[in-house]
Amino acid sequence: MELIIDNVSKQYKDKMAVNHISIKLQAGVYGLLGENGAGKTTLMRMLCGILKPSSGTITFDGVDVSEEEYRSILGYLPQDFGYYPEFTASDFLLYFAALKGIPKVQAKRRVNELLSLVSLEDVGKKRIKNFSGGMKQRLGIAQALLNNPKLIILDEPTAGLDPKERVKFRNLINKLGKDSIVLLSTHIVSDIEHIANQVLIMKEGKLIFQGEFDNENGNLEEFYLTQFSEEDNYE
Amino acid sequence: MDKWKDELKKAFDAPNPMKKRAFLRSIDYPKMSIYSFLYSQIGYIHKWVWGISALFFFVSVLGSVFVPDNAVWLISGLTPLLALTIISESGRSERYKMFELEMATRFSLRSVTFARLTIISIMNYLLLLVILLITLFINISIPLTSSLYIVTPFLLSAYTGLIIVRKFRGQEGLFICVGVSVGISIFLFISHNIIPQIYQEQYFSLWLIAALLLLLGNIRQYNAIIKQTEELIWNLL
Repeated sequence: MELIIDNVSKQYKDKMAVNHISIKLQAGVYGLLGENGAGKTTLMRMLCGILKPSSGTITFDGVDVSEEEYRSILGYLPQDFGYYPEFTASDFLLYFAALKGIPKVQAKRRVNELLSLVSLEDVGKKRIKNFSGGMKQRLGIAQALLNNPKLIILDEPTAGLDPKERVKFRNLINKLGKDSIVLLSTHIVSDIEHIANQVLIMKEGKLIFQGEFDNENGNLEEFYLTQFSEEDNYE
Repeated sequence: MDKWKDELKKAFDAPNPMKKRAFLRSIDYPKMSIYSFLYSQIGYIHKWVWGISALFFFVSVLGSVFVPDNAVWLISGLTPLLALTIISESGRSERYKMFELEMATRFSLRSVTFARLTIISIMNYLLLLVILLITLFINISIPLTSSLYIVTPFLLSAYTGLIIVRKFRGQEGLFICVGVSVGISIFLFISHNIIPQIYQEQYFSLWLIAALLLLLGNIRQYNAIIKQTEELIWNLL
């Protein structure tokens, strides 16, 4: 299993949101760090086929990002998402199961499994509009996992989760990373420290660091801040 | 046998599953066909779309029965309301911030929009056909050409609505569409009294040309809306 991002760029008028990024990802958990506006969300949207790259290619095991086959192995959680007002948690998941092409019988079983996984089984029949931010976020995570994806892209997945939920989420991601490519972005450096096998750091559209990071190398937060202050000093 | 099973369960702890996800992935589940997908989308069309369609049907039938002389004008004035069902569904994903999730799924937002617009359009045209047949059957005196006075306003409302939905995003677009539809509706209710000449037989060919042009315009807008679903994010950044 291999995701190849080859010389991918995204340009908006004069601004290069993502600047010639090339990287190969294999099964494991990758943490994407960067300041606001560094290009993380743009990169993730391109990896999900939502944005077309200005140049470069993205393939998963040889399948191009624009193909239906690519989307069928993809699980995505955007930074912000809504819901149709009449939807209950179950309706929401069943709706996305249909969009992911999962037949109804399997979908129902999978929805129950996932509601239980994210501890929402008791509120499966309740309307989402009554949910807290954390509950909504857990529902979003469940939605991303409906199709047993091989490629999981999570944009700020821990936002809104309380500490207990965050620990549970980390454990889940650890499990998923064993046989999937998981790419997650967050502002919370400690989340990356605990979950990710590999760290990717973006600045101004460029990938300025890629590699493994463990505690023997020091504190990731300090390292992350150093990357930025050093770069800033040059400017 | 069950007793044996229970005893075995008590005697031995079942090992934790190994590579469960990989195993589940290896099973080749039947995938949903495009037809099943289309069918599945019927259930996700907003209930008020069905409500409006039913209301249109009953008021039109009642009008044909109880005010046969004015049936055509009544139905004609109601068609913008029916056209709103297409318009409201076309921008729904964006209004409720569902588009980003929908775009990243196997069938994608393009298919969702295509499925829903197709279903509602087919339903609306069938409904208009049934209403026309009922009206013409009940009121034999109404000329066949009057059907154009019903179909053309419907096409006009749908066409202007689809343009508005493409240009104005979110709730704002829908409000403008409602305003325009109400305007067209009012005009149609009163036009046969204030400018009856436009309904004279000599203008029939103009009505026909207008209907055909609007039909083409609707097809064009319909394609543009589906194409635009690939580019939604571009407009947001």
